[in-house]
Amino acid sequence: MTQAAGVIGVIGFVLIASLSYAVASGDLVLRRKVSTPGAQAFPPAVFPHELHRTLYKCYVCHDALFKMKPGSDNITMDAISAGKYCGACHEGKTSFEASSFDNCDRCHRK
Amino acid sequence: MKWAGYLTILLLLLISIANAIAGCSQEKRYQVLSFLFEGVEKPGETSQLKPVVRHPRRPPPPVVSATPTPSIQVAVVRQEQGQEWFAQLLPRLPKDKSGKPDWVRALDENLISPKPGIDRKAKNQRPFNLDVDLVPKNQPAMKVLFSHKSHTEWLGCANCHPAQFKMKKGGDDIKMAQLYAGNSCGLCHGKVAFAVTTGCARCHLMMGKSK
Repeated sequence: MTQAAGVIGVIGFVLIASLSYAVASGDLVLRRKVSTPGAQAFPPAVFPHELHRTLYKCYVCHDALFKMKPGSDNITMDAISAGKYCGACHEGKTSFEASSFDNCDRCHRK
Repeated sequence: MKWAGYLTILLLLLISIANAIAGCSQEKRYQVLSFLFEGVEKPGETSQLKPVVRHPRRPPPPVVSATPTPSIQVAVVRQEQGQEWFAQLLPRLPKDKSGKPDWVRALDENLISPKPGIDRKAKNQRPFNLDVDLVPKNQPAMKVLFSHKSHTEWLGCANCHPAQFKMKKGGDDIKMAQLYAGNSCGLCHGKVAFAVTTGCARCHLMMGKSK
């Protein structure tokens, strides 16, 4: 039982995101599949899709960084810090650093 | 000598008694203390503490960055602007029936210039010029003209083929119900590309002509 609880705890830290669409603004809300104790206080990340498509063509991110199908990527902060997913650009040079604690609320907002 | 000792003790006692009776009245204390120090409270008044505001003796020099490297400058500019530039751009983009930006027209009219890659040297993918007629069985009026060109301005082949659409023409039985469920064309249309519900005539060209 303790092992199972430990595994669940570890998975809990990994915030697996599934994509769902906020109809009004064209923004994507990356809802968490796994909920952690503080998750309710900390809003899930919002991805402004339309903003990004004015800057880059679809094929820059799809499918090299993100699969086309919503919710098929397990986007975690660890992966982003390692330069995967959002971290490919949001590394502080091409665009703002996603893994910096100064920038949390630029994605995690309501 | 003994007398002198007793006298001094007596004197000190007298002084301390006199102090206890007269000298420690609030007015006296104020008189003495205000003579020696600044900001002593008057009896019956309570002075309020005022925060000390320090102004710089000279105005701060204008921020002149010593020619930062281009990459850092880009980061700083974005940091300051945030999403404001996008909020300003959005009203200037052409809109489709649903009121959302018409991205194909925006790109054609050079109102936006999405980059073809993260690398600055990345070049635009050459659009693939192939129109495909998709005619549903027994419904010739519902014919769809699929333009590869307008799609490959944005997308690569592998984004759709073969996961969403087989490479063979007519290999997929595309139904509107699939689109509404967010599959097939609906994977993008209705989300980031024009809506399925308002963009009928953009695919079903005959629907546009009849009106």
